[in-house]
Amino acid sequence: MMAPHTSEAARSDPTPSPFTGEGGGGGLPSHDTHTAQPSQPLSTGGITVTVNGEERRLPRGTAIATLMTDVDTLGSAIARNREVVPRSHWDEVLLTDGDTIEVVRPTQGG
Amino acid sequence: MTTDSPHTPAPTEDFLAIAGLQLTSRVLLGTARYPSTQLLLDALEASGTQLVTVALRRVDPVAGGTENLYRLLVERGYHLLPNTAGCFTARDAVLTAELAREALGTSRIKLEVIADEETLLPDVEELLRAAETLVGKGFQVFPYTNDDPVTARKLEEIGCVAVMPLGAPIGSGLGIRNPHNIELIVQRAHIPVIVDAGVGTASDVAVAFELGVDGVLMNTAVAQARQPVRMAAAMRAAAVAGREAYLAGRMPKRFYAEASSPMGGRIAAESAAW
Repeated sequence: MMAPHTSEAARSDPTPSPFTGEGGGGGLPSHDTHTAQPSQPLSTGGITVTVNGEERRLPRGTAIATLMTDVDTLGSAIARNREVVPRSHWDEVLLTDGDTIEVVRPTQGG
Repeated sequence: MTTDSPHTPAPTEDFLAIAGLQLTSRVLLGTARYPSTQLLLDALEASGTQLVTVALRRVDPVAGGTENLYRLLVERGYHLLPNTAGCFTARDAVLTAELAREALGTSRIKLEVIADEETLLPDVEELLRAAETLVGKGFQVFPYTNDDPVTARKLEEIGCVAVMPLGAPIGSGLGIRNPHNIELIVQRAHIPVIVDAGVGTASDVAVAFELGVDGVLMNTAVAQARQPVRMAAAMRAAAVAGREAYLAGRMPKRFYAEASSPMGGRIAAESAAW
């Protein structure tokens, strides 16, 4: 069990995600926000991002919106490196190598 | 129209005004742990609730396709109160609240910052820190807290829109364990007091309202009842009964009996044996 911790030193440790019962997510350094630019050719190589605790390889130049194409997005929200990305920016914000993404939605809760 | 007192509203005029909402129902219901989604929806309806809690959890962006609870609830007209359940630090709670505001388009947040998984009791230091941050960011904060009048007062001073002391630990069904503290919180508060957690059955709800609370938030007591829909209806009736009893003003308690029937005009009686 994780003890409650508040010190700055403790905060740099990986912390359990509030969105799952288990650990995972968090811990990676922040990156500057890159907004849309002319898409680069895929041959420049892929990037690795962590989406809800799972690493995924994606083409460079992938917009956040791409993560949501298969989902009923009503009520969904996305955080990138612990910063909320407003829905209106999903099409513009491009994923960066090393990004940690949380995609959440309301579910049963008390 | 009641003629009892100008200060006690008639049942039809007795609203719970909270965070810009005017609620005719004082029951707040959680949406977790029901045997099925249909039973959840039926229980919500039977309870009469207008404000329901939801958690925020990861969506599987690949699998998709799962039922969208948010859609089901908003289609039925419920106001939503997202929670920060599962957060152990102010930092996580603040991020969860920000995600909830983005996801649901509401600045209401049920703020839960838990100390450990065994007791699920609030971590008051982190709670106060998170409440202060969230109020500063414009949230309408509903903090889940201990039944501690001092903490309740601090939360009010921070600017929370309500204070939500526990009756007993989450999911315990032990009822209102410290009615004196709840009463003290009610007497000193200028914001709505909502008992959150600990209610096990209808009498617990009635007791809470008789103590003067403005609302009761419950989940497991309904969801895990043998018949959740029937229990939801019982909770609704108990809330009305308890609230009405509170407004009516109960008789004072006495240590000795006081005859209801007049003592005068009785037949000649023998004196007591001793």
